[in-house]
Formats: sequence, structure tokens, C-alpha cells
Amino acid sequence: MNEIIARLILLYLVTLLIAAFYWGVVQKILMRRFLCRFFAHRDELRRLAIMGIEDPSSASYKQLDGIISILIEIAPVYSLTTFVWAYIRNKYTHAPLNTKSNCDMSVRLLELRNKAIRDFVLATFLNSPLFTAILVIFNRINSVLLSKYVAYTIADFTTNRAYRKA
Amino acid sequence: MNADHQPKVSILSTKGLSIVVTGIVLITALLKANSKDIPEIVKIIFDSSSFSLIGWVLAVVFLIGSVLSMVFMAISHDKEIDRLVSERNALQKILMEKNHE
Repeated sequence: MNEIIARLILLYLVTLLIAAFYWGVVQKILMRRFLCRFFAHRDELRRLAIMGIEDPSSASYKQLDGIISILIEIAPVYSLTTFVWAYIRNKYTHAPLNTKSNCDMSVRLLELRNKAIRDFVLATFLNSPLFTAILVIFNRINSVLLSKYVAYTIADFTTNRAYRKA
Repeated sequence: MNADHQPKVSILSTKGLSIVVTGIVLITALLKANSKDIPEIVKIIFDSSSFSLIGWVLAVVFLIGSVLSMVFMAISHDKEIDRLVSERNALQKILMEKNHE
């Protein structure tokens, strides 16, 4: 018994050190890289508008610009519990990635949106590896899951921001 | 990014899951153990050669990990600067073309 307790103390200390290194160094550095990628997506989107390829006043453009801006803000802290809260709070509310705007989106915008969603899922993998792995597996069964996941996230963030401003 | 709009990490985060789980197991085991055994447990820990070996292994892993992290961060930083430079050049070109028109 004493031997087992000594090994458990050792295991606890090792876990503590590895967790400190991961959350203090590795996660922060990798997350910064993902944030840079989100900024690159937003710059690419805005350059399309500056070059006159996309109309900046269109609903689909504004929607995508908003989505990427929100993803930049929430990616560093997103985890399983955040998602569960977002799902509970927005279960019966509107779908922020509304289908009408999606239909209006050009191929370029859709491609950019999919890239941003993919990067968001990869970024959440750093915060919640187990949860994201399960999510990706379920997405193989139901391909709409990832879009819904991002939709609930954005809906929750938008609602909370409105509350904070009020 | 505006600090006012930054969401907070929830208390029930999976961030400390491994620490919490091993901590609960450890506390349960300590509670089940007799208090007279504590000095013996401490003796086992400090006399154990595997304890010091794991310490050395962790130190080496963290050192290599830190160096690799720094290299990755430097590469990532350079890439971002290059991207910003190309973005700036592209926008300057567009502005200059507009001014010529």
C-alpha cells in the first residue's frame, strides 16, 4: 500500500509538471500560430473586397467577416464546457450561420469559411483534445455537426456580447 | 482584441482534468493509509532511484521541448512578418494604382 501511495505521489507530481509545461508554453505558442492564421483569413477576405472581387456590403461578406472576428476572440478559451453552455443557452434560438447567406456565398467565401472552421476545430483541439477528437469522430457520422458546433458558439458569443454591452 | 469582450475560461474546464483525476486518486489513497505510514512513504519516495530518474527525464524533455517551442515560435513569427509585408505591399500597390488613375 505504501509503495502504491508513493507511486501515486510521483504520478501526481509528473502530471502537474507536464500540465504546467503544456498549458504554460506549448498551448500558448501553438494558439498564437492559430490566431495568426485567423488574421490571415480575415486579411484575405478584406483584400478580396478591396480588389473589388467581393462586395463588402453583401450579407454573406458581412456574415463571414463577423464569424472570423468572433472565432479570433473565442478560440483561445474554447472547450467542452463552453460548448455545452452554448448549446444549452441557444438550443431554441436562431441559427447564426443562416442558410440564406450560405447560399449567396461565392465559392471563394465558402472556401474561406471552411478554412476558418477547420482552423477553429484544430485550435479547440489544443484546449480540449478529448472533446475535439470525439467531435471529429461524430462528424464522420453526421457531417452537419461541425457547422452546428460553430453556429452555437457564435450564437452564444453574440448573445453574451449583447448582454455585456447592455 | 478588446479585453472587455474576451470570454473567460469556465471553471469546469477540461484544462486541469489530469491533475484533478490524479489528485483525487492520491487524496483517496492518503486518506485510506494509516498516519503512522506517512514517514515510510516519504522514505520510499526519497530513497527511490526511479524518482530521481524520472526527474532527470522530465528535465531533459522540458529542455528539448522549450528549445523546439522557441524555434517554432521564431519560424511562426517570421512567417507572420512575411505575410504582413506581402499584405502591405499588395495594398500599397493598389493605392498607388488608384492615385495614378
